[in-house]
Amino acid sequence: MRSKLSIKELDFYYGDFKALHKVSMEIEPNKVTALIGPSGCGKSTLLKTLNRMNDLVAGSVVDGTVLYDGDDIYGKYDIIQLRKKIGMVFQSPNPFAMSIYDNIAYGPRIHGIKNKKVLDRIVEKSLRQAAIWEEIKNRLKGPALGLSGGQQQRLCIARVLAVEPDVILMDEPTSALDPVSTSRIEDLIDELKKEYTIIIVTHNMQQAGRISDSTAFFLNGYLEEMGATEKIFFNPDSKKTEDYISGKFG
Amino acid sequence: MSIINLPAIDSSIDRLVEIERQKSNTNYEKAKRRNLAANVLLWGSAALTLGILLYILGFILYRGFRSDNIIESDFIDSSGISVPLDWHDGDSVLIVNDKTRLKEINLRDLESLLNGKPDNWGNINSQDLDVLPYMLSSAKGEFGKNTTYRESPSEIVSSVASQPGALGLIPASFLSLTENKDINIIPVKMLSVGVNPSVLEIENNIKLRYIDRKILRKILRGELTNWQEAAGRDMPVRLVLPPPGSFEWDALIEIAGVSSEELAQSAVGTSSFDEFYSKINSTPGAFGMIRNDRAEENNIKLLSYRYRQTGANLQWWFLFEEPKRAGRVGGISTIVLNTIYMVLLTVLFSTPIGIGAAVYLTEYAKQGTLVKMLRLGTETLAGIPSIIFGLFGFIVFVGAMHMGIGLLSGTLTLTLMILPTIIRTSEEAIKGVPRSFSAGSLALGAGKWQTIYKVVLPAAAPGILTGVILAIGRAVGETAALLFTMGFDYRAVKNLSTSARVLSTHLYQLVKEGISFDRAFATATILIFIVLFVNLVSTRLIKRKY
Repeated sequence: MRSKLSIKELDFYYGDFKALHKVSMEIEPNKVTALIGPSGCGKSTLLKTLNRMNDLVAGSVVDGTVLYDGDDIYGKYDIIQLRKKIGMVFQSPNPFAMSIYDNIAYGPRIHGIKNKKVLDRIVEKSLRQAAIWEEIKNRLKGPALGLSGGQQQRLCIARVLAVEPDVILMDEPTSALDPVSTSRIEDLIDELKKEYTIIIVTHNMQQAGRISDSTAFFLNGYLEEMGATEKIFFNPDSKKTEDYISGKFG
Repeated sequence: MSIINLPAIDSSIDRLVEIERQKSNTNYEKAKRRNLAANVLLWGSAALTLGILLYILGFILYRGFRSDNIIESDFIDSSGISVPLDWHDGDSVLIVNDKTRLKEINLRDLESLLNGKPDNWGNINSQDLDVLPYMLSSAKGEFGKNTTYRESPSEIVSSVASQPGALGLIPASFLSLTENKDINIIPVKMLSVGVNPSVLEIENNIKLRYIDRKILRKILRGELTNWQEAAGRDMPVRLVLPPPGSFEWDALIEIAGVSSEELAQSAVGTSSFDEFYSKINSTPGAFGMIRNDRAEENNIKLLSYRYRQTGANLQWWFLFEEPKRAGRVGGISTIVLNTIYMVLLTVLFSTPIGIGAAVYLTEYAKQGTLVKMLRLGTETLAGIPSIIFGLFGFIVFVGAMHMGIGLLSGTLTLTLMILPTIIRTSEEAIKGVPRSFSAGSLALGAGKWQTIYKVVLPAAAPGILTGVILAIGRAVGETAALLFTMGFDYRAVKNLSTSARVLSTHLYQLVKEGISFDRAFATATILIFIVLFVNLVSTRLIKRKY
């Protein structure tokens, strides 16, 4: 199967600090890939390089190539098209200070969709996909910031889905949520991988084990090991991976 | 068994520990006392601040809604409805149209109105109305050319009832004609305090300047026998009584509040007016209550009478009438209108520029020396006295740019003045928007400007609005920056280059020219209410946001 994203010899610097060292990995389509590792290992940094959110960080330098469907995203690729195709869900829910409806319609609107009926349809579909439609369909005009944390995060996922992405990046999407909300998001991720390619950064070993198909373990800016989740968890090649998985550090 | 085994160094250390512990207990007491003292201090200063605030606000609002003035005049503040005027036999009654705001009038003002000088009510009651006097034809020829003569009292009543600004005199016996008509009956003040010239002479650097109602009563009752007690020279008071049964006699008894037997023992009775006036003029220390219009012909000196006049000050008409004659007459309607124009224009000029600058400083500019200098510059500008902005506006906008003194020059000057405030508060508001908002927007593929325009600015709106409101508050109350740039024309502005008077400059003029403190306080009250209104509306707007 052809890779959705193909990262080749990626170096990343925050000013003088080198955060990633020659990382190379392949992301398969319609799979959930988990990035794990101790704090500061570079997993979130790698995630940001995939839709170029790292551009916002002053003094960051990228060296190497990231191919998305065969095109180099650090080449001539249009950054707006890229972010439309590769959406991102953040660590803490960040709905805008608008109504629920406007939050979802925000993405389609900035990409030029103005027709009210079309927007209505997109909003409903996205909210249904994010498994939150039934809970909030009666208060679409209400403020998004009035929702609970778990609902807000699913709203943010719906907001990403509304621009019809291809890949969804998730940066510890459940770290700010309670166990019940977490399990709902995990179910949702399982559902979404039928249509989307998902890359998720997580600190939660069990979560990685539960939801991912393949896992990449990062340590000090190096990709230590990557493979099928079962292999990484039960039969890793690297001693460091084994130590980390079994909780000896990190 | 102790878990921690301290090495046995020296038992003196343990004693030291014990002493320190005891000390710390007393320290605890000390800290408690200090805490209490701090609490008292804080509560005290909070209460003081609140007290001062309420006092200032309360004082201004009190004076705004209630006129409360000490007045020195030739007339005693006692007035009657039926008064013996020379133009009719028997008593007369003064009637005016009820559109005319008048509660009482003194004889001298009445006379000048009847003579058509002035021919406008302005000087009497601050109302811009033509004076239209009506008299019985028996008095023909005695008055100015404005006066209209009518054959019967009923004709006078119907004429007065039909025209605002009309006034008329009718015999007191026809008072019943005025019932159920648009007419008010106005009491006329007639009496003055007449004294022998010796009373007003200077002795030991002391001269009697005025008396008030309390002293007047004491004199009538014989409780005050020497002028010294009324802050005059050392001289006995000799009360001269008017002929019994006269108008003056009745008024005197009423003011004294006692029966005729209980009047001052030393009082000199008279049987005719000739005797009355000559007694006053010939007796040293003499005092008498006389008709004001008889003083001159009988050569009697008048003593000022001082009294406190209270009444309603700010009323609706003040808001809705046009100002006339430098603000002496009428209300402040056009001035309020000018103020609104000024605020709208200032907000129109300053808000886009201010927000634009704030967005540039926070989102676009490289945070280096230049931005630091810009910040320092705006902060310095925010602290500069507004009169300097006024001077700048005068030289640059009025002079160099040939805009002249007017609305545009004034609002541009104000814009410069409040821009730093708007920039600073907007900057803080934009910085306060969580970074995750713009990250979320950018991650959806939005451009930088789209993100700022659609996500950051709306989220920062409450803060920005607060800054704009603060700025409006400053603009509404600003005087110094407008003195040289906006002008003082109190008519409604016609275009951008018209000179325009606003509430603050109107207030300034009223006080500076000594026109009226009542009007100044009424204007101040309106100003306070406008600021209050703007604040309430803005909090509403802020609450409506998500």
